[in-house]
Amino acid sequence: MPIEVENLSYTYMPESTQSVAALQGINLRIADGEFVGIMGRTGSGKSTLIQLLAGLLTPTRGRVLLDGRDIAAKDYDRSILRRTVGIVFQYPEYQLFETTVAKDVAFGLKHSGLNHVEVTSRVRKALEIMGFDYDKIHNQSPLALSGGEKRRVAIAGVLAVQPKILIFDEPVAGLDPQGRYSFMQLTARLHQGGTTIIMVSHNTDVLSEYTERLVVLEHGQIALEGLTKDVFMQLPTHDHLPVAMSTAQEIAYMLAARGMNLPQGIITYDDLLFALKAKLGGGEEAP
Amino acid sequence: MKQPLTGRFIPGDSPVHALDARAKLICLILLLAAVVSAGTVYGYGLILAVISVILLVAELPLHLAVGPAWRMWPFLSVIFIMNALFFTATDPLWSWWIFHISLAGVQQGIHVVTNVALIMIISNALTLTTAPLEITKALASLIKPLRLIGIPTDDVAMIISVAIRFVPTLLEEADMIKKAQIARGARFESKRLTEKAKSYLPLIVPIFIAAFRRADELALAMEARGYHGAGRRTPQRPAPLRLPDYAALMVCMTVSILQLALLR
Ligand SMILES: Nc1ncnc2c1ncn2[C@@H]1O[C@H](COP(=O)(O)OP(=O)(O)OP(=O)(O)O)[C@@H](O)[C@H]1O
Ligand SMILES: [Mg+2]
Repeated sequence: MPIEVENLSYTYMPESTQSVAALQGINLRIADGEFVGIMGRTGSGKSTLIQLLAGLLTPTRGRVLLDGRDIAAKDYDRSILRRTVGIVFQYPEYQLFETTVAKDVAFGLKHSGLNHVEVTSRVRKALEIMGFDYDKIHNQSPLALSGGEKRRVAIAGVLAVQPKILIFDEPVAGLDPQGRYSFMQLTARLHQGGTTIIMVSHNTDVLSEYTERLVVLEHGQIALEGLTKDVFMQLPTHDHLPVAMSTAQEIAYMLAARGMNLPQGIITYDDLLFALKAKLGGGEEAP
Repeated sequence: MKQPLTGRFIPGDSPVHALDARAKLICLILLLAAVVSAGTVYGYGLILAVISVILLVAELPLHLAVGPAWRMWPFLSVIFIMNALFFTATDPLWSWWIFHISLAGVQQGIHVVTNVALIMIISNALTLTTAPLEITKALASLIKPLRLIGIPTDDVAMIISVAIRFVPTLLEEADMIKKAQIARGARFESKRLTEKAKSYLPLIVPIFIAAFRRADELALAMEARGYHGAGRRTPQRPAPLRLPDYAALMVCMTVSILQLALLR
């Protein structure tokens, strides 16, 4: 189910003299199974864009098409949208409310028409994906868990619906390196399983490692868009953009400036490692 | 603060927006007094002129400024009819049973309805152009004299302003939580009352948790910064009124004094 965005604009408080034109004339197409990153400085309209994609805001102008159908249309069946598109906000742990973890994770399946056995198996699966032991956790109160555990339970609640398109707003902000790594591994697995992933992040390292395509927003418009590698390669020529290079890319630039002749297009740590190995002639594995 | 608070305050940069909230509050009282004491066509003309100027200067779109009063038309009609039908006058134009329509009655009806509508428009102009936090601060500073009769006005002001301070934050958080639950497939429409109440649990529980979390954080932060009740606080000197504030006050004062003069 591809998502298409046509000439999309959104204005907050349109009646005020201080109305905010958060998005202006966005055109975008996200195909099935893609992993798309969205970056841009704070206030550039990233969160607004993904809320429009999930049908949580209604466009001021333009359309969002899911599988070719306008999701804001009067006769559109919203339950299709809810089943297809899952969204994880920055602090998903704040949405927990049920008395047990299992009930909370099952909340999104209430209107799915699945029977009790199917619901339980989905809940078990979602919790296991998020690294929990179902039998240990399912009867606990979600409100008594630690912050990190709450967050994973909340994400499990979104995964239980098995959405084909998953949207994350700043998912790795506030996670420690280990948490960030395991979260990204999980996302990569979902992506390999065919789920479309759309991820808003300020973390260029994460975006450079995992995404296939990047959209850079600036003042509510698309400033740069393309394959991740191409976008990162173009960044140095767009120094008006507030988007940093990835760390590996920066190291490569520093080494090049000190006279080391490295190939073009080093974006990820793997690229850098590969290039350095070739350069230094060492065949040994890195420790 | 992202969300316009009550859905009513509309940020702007007009001279009316920029006025000190204390001045605006006193102006409101003066203008309300003017409306109540207005008795002649000239008086109402004057008030209408003042309102038009305020709305123009504040750059308020007409449907926002007058809309709320306009939407009250069923209520206003009832007021009019009651006044017109039941006003006892000596020279009715038409009488039947207990109903008497007289010129004086109709006039009285128009009078009352106009007053109510004008009061709504004027108050609305205040809330449209003034942030709620500003209004409470102004209220707090205007109730200061009540300290003389033993009311702990500092504490009252503190409580009001903390409460008001958290409304936008909580609204923003509530908005996020609502969106998250809708995205998870929550449905807030149901016909049976118990079902309906239950369907709001996914909103109410997280919002309460958020409120308590905020309150905890605030209490800790206030304690860490050495807050021990408002009593021992060094009084904060409020910013003095500026020239435009005094000008606005003068205008409103003149309008209400003129009303009294026009009565004769
Ligand atoms: N509820 C709202 N009411 C009014 N203005 C808003 C609201 N939400 C966002 N805005 C404004 O719209 C613009 C885009 O906001 P948005 O939240 O989409 O930015 P963002 O790119 O997600 O920023 P960040 O990186 O800080 O999350 C900003 O100027 C913001 O102030
Ligand atoms: Mg955001």
